[in-house]
Amino acid sequence: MSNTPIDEHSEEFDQLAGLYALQVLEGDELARFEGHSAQCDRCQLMVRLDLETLARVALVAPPMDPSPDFKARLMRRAAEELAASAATSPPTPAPPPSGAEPENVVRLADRQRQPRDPAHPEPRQSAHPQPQQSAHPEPRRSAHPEPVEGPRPSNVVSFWRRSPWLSALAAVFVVALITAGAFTYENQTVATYELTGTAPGSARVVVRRSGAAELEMAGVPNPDPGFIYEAWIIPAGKQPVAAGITATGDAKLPLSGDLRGTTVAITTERGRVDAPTSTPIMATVVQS
Amino acid sequence: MTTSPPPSPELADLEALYDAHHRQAIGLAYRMLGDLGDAEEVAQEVFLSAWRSGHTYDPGRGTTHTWILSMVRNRSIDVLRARRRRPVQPLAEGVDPPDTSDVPTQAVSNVDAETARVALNSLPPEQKQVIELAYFSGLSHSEIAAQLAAPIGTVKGRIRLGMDRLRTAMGVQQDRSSGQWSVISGQ
Repeated sequence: MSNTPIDEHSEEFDQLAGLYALQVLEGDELARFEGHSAQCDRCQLMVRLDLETLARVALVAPPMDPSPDFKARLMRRAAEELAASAATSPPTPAPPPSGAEPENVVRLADRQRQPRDPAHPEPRQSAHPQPQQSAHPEPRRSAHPEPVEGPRPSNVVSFWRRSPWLSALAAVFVVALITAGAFTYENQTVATYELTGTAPGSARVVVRRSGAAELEMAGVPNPDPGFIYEAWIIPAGKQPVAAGITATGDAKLPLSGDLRGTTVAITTERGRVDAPTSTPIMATVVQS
Repeated sequence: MTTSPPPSPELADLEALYDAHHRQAIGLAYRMLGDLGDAEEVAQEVFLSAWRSGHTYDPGRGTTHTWILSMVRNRSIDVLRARRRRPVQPLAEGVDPPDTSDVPTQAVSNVDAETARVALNSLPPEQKQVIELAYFSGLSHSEIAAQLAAPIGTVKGRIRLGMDRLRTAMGVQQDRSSGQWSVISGQ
């Protein structure tokens, strides 16, 4: 190999950039390239470009499922690490009570209904018992209050007999209150997922307790004349599904279907299309 | 991306990381190692490592997906090199993911999987071969040259040409107005 000065770019460095991005460059060549590229904008761009290309080569490998117990083994090992670290560090104070129930409380409630193997407890429960489970149990749904047991007070009966219309109005009022409470409860936000990308402004996926979700955009510049924003739901390993369009950067869009594990993205299009024709300006993954 | 309010941070973070990325991670490790047991071992170490160091990871420097797969490849190469009974050269792991902050790679990854397959399969066989040997088998250019009984310079040239073709086929282009590289999906 020739002794190319460090500040002089040559075709050889173009080749080494690819090898460097592949992480298969060795020995003296590795040191030479790193020394050169530290001062060479072209090489830095070449490496960046090659890394971006290679990141996509990884996708050539078909996704596959692990053994059925793989996740349990992984979580168990993590729980053991946490338990070990907790044993050597001061306890973490419990989080303050929260009005909105965290997402995983719902999952835990679901898990508790499932039979568990006592020899292999769920790591989440064994390592980190949820304080909400005991100290802050899931609030009873105000829409479905438990019936009041015991003798009916006599003054209620007499009031009903004396003023049936007022009683009916009172009943309607109570039902309205219950309905409003149920709506409020079901409409509570249980998770938000911020979209990131190149566009200014913000966008987020808001998931309600009811399971409904919507995409909220705020402060995103309006698309250029003749263009719109189109939202996409991209299930893992599948093609994007159009979720809706908007002509402004401040908009709310209901998202239907099960979003867990999907990518939600926004592209700029010339009109409603069935498949994205441009790179998403913002995107996020909705965790399952 | 943030989840509000943060649920039981440690294990919940790991579970979220796993649920979002495990199939592609296992798939890549299996493609490289050809053994599910080894692939799972690699994936387990990667997820635990990512989980442990997650608080130091800067999402602005690359997507989590890219980061995870980069670690999977690095660990798999370590395993491959150990199998070949060669001195293992540890590879940088995780803390220095490829800088793709201007590209929401995760968002387009599903769309691009097929594009990537088509792009790789469109390469001339000799270029596809050297890139696969380097990427999936972790062979150095000198090892590839020895395996193919080809001059090292030829291997280097094939890799460069193959990378350039892949870049074009995958739609990775330079945004001339900003001087930044960006990925054009679906091309």
